[in-house]
Amino acid sequence: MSIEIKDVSKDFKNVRALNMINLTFEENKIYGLLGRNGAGKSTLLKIISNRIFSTSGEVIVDGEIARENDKALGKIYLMNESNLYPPKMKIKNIFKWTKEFYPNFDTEYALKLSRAFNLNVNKYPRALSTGYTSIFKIIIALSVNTPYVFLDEPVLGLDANHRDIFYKFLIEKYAEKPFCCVISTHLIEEVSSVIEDVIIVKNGEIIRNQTRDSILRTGFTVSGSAAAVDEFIKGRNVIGTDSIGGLKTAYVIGSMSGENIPDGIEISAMDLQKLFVQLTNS
Amino acid sequence: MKLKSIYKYLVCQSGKSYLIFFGVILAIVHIGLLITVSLDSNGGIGGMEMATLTYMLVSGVLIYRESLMVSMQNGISRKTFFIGSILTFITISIIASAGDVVINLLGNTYEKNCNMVYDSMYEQFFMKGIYDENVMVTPALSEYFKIFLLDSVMYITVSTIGLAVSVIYYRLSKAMKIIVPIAFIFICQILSVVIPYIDYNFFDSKIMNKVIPCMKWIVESNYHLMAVISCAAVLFIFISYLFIRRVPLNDSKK
Repeated sequence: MSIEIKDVSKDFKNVRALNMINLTFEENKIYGLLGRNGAGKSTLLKIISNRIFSTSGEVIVDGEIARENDKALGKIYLMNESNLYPPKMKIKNIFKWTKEFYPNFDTEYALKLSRAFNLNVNKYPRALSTGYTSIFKIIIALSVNTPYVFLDEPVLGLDANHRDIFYKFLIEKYAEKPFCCVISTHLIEEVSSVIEDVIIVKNGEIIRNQTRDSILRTGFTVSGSAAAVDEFIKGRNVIGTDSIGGLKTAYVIGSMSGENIPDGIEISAMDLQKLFVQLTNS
Repeated sequence: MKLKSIYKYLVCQSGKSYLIFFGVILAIVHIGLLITVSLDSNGGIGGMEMATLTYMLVSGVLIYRESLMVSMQNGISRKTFFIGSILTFITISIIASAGDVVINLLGNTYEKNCNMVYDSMYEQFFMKGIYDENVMVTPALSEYFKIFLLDSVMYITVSTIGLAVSVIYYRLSKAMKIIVPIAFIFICQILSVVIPYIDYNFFDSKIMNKVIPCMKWIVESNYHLMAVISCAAVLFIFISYLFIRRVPLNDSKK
């Protein structure tokens, strides 16, 4: 049971947005889909959910080609920045209709989340602020109970408190009934504790696809005086450096097993955001 | 399953607005009839189907964009959405035709009992000729069935025209959205002015001599008219499908 993306490419006129993407989203896993603006994350998610067509390649959901396939598409839910819901329909009625389209939609749970987020279900989507529009869509995404849920910028416009509630409910929901959840976001630090696997997209290509723990083990951070750091990183695979005054930090790919750490040098684990920034800096 | 869901959704959304429209039209007709009767003017009203035709055309145009978005959000393919839309048009057209029969029955009840004339489009076209003076023609019960059939086919056709217009416009670029209507007017001008002019001056009206009998044949029987507009409906359904089947979701147009 998985979503397989096979050789998917997408061209917009003369621009290649995605180039021969090959990926597998397995069931019951939380993925982080990371990439800079314009990297192709949203395009990929739109292709998976049949909103746009790929120029070549296929998306296969549980063994079935997803393109124009109601059965396969019924297993996928995509929440993204676009509001495709009728602007003149009350939120409670949108819940009702979502239940019609997705029979496993849990209306009670949606109402529970609405109360937790303080969302008035008698409002119309067009009357909601940016943050509450995201909340409204998050609630549906968490209540829809499809095997594959894609969240494209789910916390757009949400304040810290609401983001906290969202992560809490996401983990709670996942613990109670695991599902495949793909989160595409720029708030990497926040999401890094939630995700299990990391997929990094750069210029329409996948540059990393591995577990969060293994990706963090691929490198380390070296800090200290510029001279000491420069000496230490000689001959190592350095993916980037930061300098402030006489201090320098280097981001190194590789491991430190059994090596002596010179005085004046501090070694720390790479955090996901730093690694991401260094990997995606052009 | 998905077809049933989108059909149910579309019928609910379209049905609600039709019921409001029907209530307003029924009230207007009733008030119009009451005024005509109270003024004792020997006048008449009719052709209320034109209002329903306009409504169905607009409804065909409006159903597309919002419903396509709802379909995409809820994992429904374009093909299923398209079939659901056509089934919805058929359903609403049948309901609207039944509504017209109710309005006709009301009008003809007044016609029978008061000194005034009420004519449906069908009565005007097929029961007494288009340009006749106010003559009381009350349809038999069997004629109501023909009214129902003709109205149903007409409404389905205009709905599909509305859908086709909407679908084509959705896919056009900004420049093409301006070029297409201008081209349409240009073609209409050629068909209605230039071709008859050329025909009259260079072909001794041979073209018009062939076209006019065809047009007469179309309007001489309700079944001929129904056959022709059914073909038009099929054509517009086909055109709409060609445009819908590969349409990308244009969610930037919020």
